Amino acid sequence: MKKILSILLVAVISCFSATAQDLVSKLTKDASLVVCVNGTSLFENISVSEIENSLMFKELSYEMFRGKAMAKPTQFSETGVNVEDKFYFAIENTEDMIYYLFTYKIQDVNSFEKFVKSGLDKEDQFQVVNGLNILTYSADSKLVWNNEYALFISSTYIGEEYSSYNSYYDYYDYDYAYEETAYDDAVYEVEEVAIESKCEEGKCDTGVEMDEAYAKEQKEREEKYKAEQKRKEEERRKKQEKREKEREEKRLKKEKFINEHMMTRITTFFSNSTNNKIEISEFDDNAVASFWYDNMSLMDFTRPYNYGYYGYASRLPWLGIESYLSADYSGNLFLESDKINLVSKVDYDNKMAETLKNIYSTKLNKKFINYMSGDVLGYMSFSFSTEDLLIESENITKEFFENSDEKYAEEIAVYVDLVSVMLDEEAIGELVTGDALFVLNNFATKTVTYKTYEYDENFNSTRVTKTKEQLQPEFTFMIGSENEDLITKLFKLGIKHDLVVPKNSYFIIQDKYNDFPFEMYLAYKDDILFTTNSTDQIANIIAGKAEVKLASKHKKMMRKNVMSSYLNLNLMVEKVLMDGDMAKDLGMLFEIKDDLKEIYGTSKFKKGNVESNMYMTIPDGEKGSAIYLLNMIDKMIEFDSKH
Amino acid sequence: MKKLQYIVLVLLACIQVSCFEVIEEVNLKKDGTGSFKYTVNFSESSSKIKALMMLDEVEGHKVPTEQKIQSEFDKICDLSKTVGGISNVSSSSDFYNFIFEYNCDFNKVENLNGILDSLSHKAESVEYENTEYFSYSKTKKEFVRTGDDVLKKTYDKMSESKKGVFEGARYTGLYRFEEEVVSVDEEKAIVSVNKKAVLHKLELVLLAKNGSAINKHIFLK
Repeated sequence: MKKILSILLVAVISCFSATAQDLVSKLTKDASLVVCVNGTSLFENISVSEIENSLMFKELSYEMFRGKAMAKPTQFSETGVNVEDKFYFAIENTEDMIYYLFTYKIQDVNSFEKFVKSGLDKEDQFQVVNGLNILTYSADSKLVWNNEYALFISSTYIGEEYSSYNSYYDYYDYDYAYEETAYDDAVYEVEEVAIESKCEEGKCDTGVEMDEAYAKEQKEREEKYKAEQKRKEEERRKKQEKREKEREEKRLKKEKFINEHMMTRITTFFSNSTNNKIEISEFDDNAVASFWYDNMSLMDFTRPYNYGYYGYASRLPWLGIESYLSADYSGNLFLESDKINLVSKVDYDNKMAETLKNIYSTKLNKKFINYMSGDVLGYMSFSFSTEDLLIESENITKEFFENSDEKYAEEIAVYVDLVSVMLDEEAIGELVTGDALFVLNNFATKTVTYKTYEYDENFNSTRVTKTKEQLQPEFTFMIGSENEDLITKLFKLGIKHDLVVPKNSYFIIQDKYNDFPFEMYLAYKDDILFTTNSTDQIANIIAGKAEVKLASKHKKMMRKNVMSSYLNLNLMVEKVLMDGDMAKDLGMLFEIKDDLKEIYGTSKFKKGNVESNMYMTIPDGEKGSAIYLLNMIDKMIEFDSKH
Repeated sequence: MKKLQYIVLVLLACIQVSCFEVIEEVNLKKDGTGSFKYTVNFSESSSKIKALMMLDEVEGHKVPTEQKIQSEFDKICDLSKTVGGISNVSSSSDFYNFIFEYNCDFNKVENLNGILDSLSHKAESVEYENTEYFSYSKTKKEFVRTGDDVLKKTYDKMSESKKGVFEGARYTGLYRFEEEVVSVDEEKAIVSVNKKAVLHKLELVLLAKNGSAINKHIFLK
């Protein structure tokens, strides 16, 4: 009895652990990218039937199974997949293979099997190996499942041994044509000379003798040539056959290699003892979707295709720039009651974190904000120290070459030192501080002229100028610069060479080649270089006033972050749709204009990481962002189907 | 030609708002000789084109440079110079207003078919394909303009949103004669007061959907 109870207990525990198991534990540290869609969190905010009854579901079902013999599901339950659990997609990079893994839980294995087996081309596509159900779609892609979860695995071979790059000479018989042509030409020349020399010796003096001798030798030569060609052709055929056989053997070996490796990965995946498990602490259980990737490993995607100058599968030299890119990127998407929120993080190593701490040590100059009106459609601000960026970049490049095996690494490191000596980082940092602000002020209707043709009563044509109202964006770009002397000299040079024309306290850019579709104005004030295409804005800048007071929320966003951005979608769409032509062409925007609100984005440097947050607010009265999003997508699909 | 067609389509696809016109003018003399002028006028969309040309790529399409457009246009002009019966070929490109004009003289109006064929079908060839876009019978005093479905083939392949570039674009056919016009079989074509010219205006989208929309027979006195 005690034994039976023990067995029951083990069974219950194992069942519980199997169902409660998070499939991320099946992924290894070889992963360079992991994406999770969290059905548990998603369906807290929206019901399964709401999605099933949506146009989006029908559209996705149609698009995913278009052209496939598989049955198109009308309900999630028909697929047998547990949509109220987590789905994972991962890319794992190993020495010889890249694996693409997509895994999810099964709710009803019978429905699942019925669904995945529907429309099978061949019966032998399905097999059961070691208790695992396997559907083989191609040599490098399979769907595998047990009673609890499924794995779709696909792969790319990136090893050297069976690489097609490595077998270039197998595919191109490059040596044969040149060698044999050269040989034939040589033989022909020697024989021709031999005949000619015989004639010169007098043996061909008399017409008859010469013709007979020549004809005889010619015939012999042709026969010899034909025999030689036949022999070579046969030799070539055998060589070709041999190569084809070798190629086929190699292809089969490669296929076997891929299959063995995939089966090993599958076995590990379905075993309960995955070594080398990946641990991603950044994934938030409340998020509907999360991602994580190791940037440099992900970039290794291109490695097998780098064959060439740098040798097989070599990584192209980055000259130290990879230091800026080498980081773990992660993010979580939340569908909250009042907004759609994406929180992301770039995690640098300690050394890089220290470097970035210096670069991002600045805050946007307060004066920038004084020139920004509160009624803008959008903006984007940056703030970093140009001086520190230059110093740190030099250090990174120098260090890279000092520790590099490159042939001229030592020389380049010294060169970088010399450049560093010549560059006055402080002066450059004064000229371009690193503060920048781009503002989308407005979409304004402007009168523009255009040419067309008019015809008199006898249809003689005349080119005439007409006017029409056209919507144009009004923007302002501000860059921080504290070197007034140099800026003044540059403006003077601009005037001298007719590049700018002074007007009041600003300058008009002379568009000699008519490159700009609008007039551009320049001004320098309060350590800021302004560029704008708006007459109102340049007037405000010179007067030093902002027409509408900027909300403190925006001031904080710009001052407290290294990057901030804002877009008032609702106002922007309203302005754009005021233009008749635009309203006609952007009809879909008209349908969803009331659904669009504002997008906010910020990035800050904190504890060695760059933390970013981007969110879109949703209209008041919505039941939550999940339903809002679904309804908006449905509106767009409906509009698209009608037009 | 394929490159120019691609360039024009990229520009069209990019500008989205379809404000441009195509004008075809034929001046036909009594002896059957005459002159031809073809104008493509993007002036109404010039500010949008200029804005786009400041970019390298839009929606995955590489935006052509002025030099590229000019070079392809020059190629077409050079190509037409080799067509028999065509002379005095000249062209002008106005990148301020984005108006492009092509002019030539012809010995007989059928010579124009060679140009249009070479532009429409043979990228680098001037092979005469005997397509009767233009014909004139001195004995019957009949001028005929016939369309084809070259544009339709491209239009049909375009996505619905891209097709929108043709909405609002205009096509104008203008035919002047030394003799008076007796009748025109196309009801939308109108005859001038002096009865020596015919004007046919239509939406370009109609032409894109049906090449024969420009078909007409003009009978002269």
